[in-house]
Amino acid sequence: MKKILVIASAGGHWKELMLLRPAFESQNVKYVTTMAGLPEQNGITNYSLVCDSNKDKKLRTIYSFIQMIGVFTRFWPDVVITTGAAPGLLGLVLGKLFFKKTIWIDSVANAEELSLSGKISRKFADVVLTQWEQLADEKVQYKGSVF
Amino acid sequence: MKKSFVFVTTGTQLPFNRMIDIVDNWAAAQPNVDVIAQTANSTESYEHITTVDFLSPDKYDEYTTNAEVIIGHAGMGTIITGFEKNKPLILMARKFIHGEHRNDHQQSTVNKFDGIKGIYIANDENELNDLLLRYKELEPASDENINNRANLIGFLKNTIAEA
Repeated sequence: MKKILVIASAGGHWKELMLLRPAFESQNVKYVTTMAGLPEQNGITNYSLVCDSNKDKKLRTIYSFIQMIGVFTRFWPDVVITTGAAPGLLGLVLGKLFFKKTIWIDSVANAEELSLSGKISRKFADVVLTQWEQLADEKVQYKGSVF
Repeated sequence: MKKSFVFVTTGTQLPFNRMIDIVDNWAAAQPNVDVIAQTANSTESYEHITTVDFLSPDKYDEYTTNAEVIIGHAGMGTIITGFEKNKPLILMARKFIHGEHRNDHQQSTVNKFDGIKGIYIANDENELNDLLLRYKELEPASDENINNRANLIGFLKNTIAEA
């Protein structure tokens, strides 16, 4: 059984992640999100919370990263997967640093271009997925979508 | 008799008068239907529907919950709402040629959703009008049994197993 750290910010990112849940069910999963009470709505108890972050809030981003380091080192996953946004990207950075498999799933909302975090993950993540065929290229793959 | 309620949304970024015009014309002949349209700073005025530029999340939730059918531009927010609320969803893509968006990506969006249960694509003004005339017969949107999702889940499972 693989240990998978699955990260999604509250809102659309989390909703999309929940639609993909069957992909993780047979593994040892730890979910990470940004809003208290959200995992319980989906009957999830194996989770950790980190504070939300974005590029405009540097201190919060640093704090979120420190929290993510704590979650990451305690769980020590084999695979890190995220549907975004910034905290998921931080999780992938840690995954890459420690030679874990890293998977970015760009939100289905991004039909025109990859999200900002998606573009950053494109530079280093092992697998980068778009949910739109027209956005696939030599690095970004289209393998299906939540809809 | 209780009036029907129809909610129309153009998203929050740009007006979409071509769609709202058709809805307004249709509403003129529908005394038993109340229509609220969120029109994102449209400068036109409409006689037969109520328009608001933007809605608070609470109001958006209230209107989409109470709507018998949701009519919208082909934005992902609108589509996800349709699935969540299990409402029939009529979608019309914004077109670059009419200056309705920066490009034609909404056409890709409607292509992706064409054929999914409860989603009705209006390719032009006539098709929108035809769908409105039979709005009572439309089925609620359902995102169960979507092949694209099964494919993505399958790919993720394999990728995890190989890690």
